[in-house]
Formats: sequence, structure tokens, C-alpha cells
Amino acid sequence: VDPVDDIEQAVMAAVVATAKAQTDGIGPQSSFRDLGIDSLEFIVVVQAVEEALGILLPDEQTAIASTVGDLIEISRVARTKV
Amino acid sequence: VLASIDKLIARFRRRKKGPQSLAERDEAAVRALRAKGVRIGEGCRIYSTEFSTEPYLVTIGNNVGIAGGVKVVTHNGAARLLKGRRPAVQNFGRVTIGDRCFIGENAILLPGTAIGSDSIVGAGAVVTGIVPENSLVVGNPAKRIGRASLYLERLARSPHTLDTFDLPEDQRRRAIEAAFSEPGSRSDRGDSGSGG
Repeated sequence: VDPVDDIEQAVMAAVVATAKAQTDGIGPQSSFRDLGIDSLEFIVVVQAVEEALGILLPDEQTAIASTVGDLIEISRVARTKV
Repeated sequence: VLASIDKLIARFRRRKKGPQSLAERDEAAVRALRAKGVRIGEGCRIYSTEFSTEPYLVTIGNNVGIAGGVKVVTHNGAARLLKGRRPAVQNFGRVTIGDRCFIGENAILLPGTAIGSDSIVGAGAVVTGIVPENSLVVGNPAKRIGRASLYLERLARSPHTLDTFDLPEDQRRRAIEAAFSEPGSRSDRGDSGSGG
């Protein structure tokens, strides 16, 4: 699935760089669990997204993200607050 | 013979008193380390006894957890390679751990390490230099991979995070076994724990 903007692109890139599982066809619906991203790797993904976009994602909302789409949405909201 | 009798009496008294609570064990460990010169704040749980040959160079803040096998090193043995020039040479460094930190199983803290408050060091990490506050560091050499606070928020929501600390052991075991009773049913693949 092609990313629609720089936020999707940053999240996808961070996930692809970290995931152990096959990332062909990765999209907003992909879950971190299915991608083989464990709790430490999730932290790595979030850090990469924050650095790429120059934003800070709130811990409480970010902690409940279970899909790539969740993280994209949280990043969109965080950017509007920058 | 008198020493043996004293030991027997001490053992009998311990048995009569019953096993130590976790809190008593924690306090005893901290007392022993303070006696060696380690500066330790309040509310710490320390399961390592390896505080180097200069324990007086180690400072630990409040509410710090240190898992088993953690090694705190306050000297650089390589300096002894200079003994041809300086026969008595040695090199030292302080190790400081801020408040509310957790140091995972078998981590090594090298001379000059200063870990900022609210940080987590992963199991087996080899740490040197300054670790900023609220860091999650892992690996060798240890690298900051993100915020400890985010890791903790995630951990708090894990199905493997239970409220079992200080429960009587039988209740604790029942609660843990119940959580793991059907493999896969409550699993989120588990956590990459920071260890210990």
C-alpha cells in the first residue's frame, strides 16, 4: 500500500526497518503483533517516527496503539499540536 | 566449638522467626551495601552484590531496582598496563544511578556511568557515559532506543503484567498460573523484558 503523505511514509518506513516478519503489503491495517514487533521494538519504531517527523507522541495514547494505522493517526494528532 | 554453637542458635532463631519478607530481605541487602560504602537512597530493591572494589564511588538514588547479576565497575583495569611507567597506577570512575531507575539482569555499568532518573537499563546491557533521564537503553554498547515512560505505559497494559507483588507465595503462584493457563489465549507474544 503506497503511503499517502509524509506521516504515513515515516510510520511505514520505521515499521519496515524494525519488523522481523514479511512486510510486503504492509498497510494501516497491519498489526504490530503480526509484524513480529515486540515491546522493545515498538519503542524503536516510535522513536524513529518522532525523529523523522520532529514530533513527540504522547505516551498514554501511543501505548495502546496496536496497528500501523493507530500510530499514523496518533502522529497526525501530535503534528497538529506542534 | 563455641562458634558452632552460636551458628546453631542463630539458625534456630531464624527458623523460629520464619522466612524473611521481601521487604526485610530488601532492607538487609541495602544495609549490607551501605556498610561497604555504597550510597543508597530509600525504597531500593537490590539483588546484586557486585559493587566493585570501590563501592564508595557508587551512588544510587531513591526507589531504584537492581536485578541479580548486575555488575558495577568503578575502575579501569587497563590502566595497569601502564605499570612499567607508573608502578602503582590505577584508574577510577564514579557510577551514579538516579531516582526510580531499573537496571536489568546481568547489566554492566562501567566507570563514569551516570544514569538519569526514571530510566531503564535492559538485561545484559553494557553501559558507559551519561544516560539522559527517562531513557530506555539496551545492548552492548548500550544505546538509547526510546523513552522509558512509553515502555512502562505499554508494559502496564500487557496481559502478563499482574498485581502479585508481596502476595503470599501460594496465592501468587495461583494468580500467575491462571494468567498463563491456556497457552496463547492471553498472550500478546509476551514482552521483551528489561529483565530481573
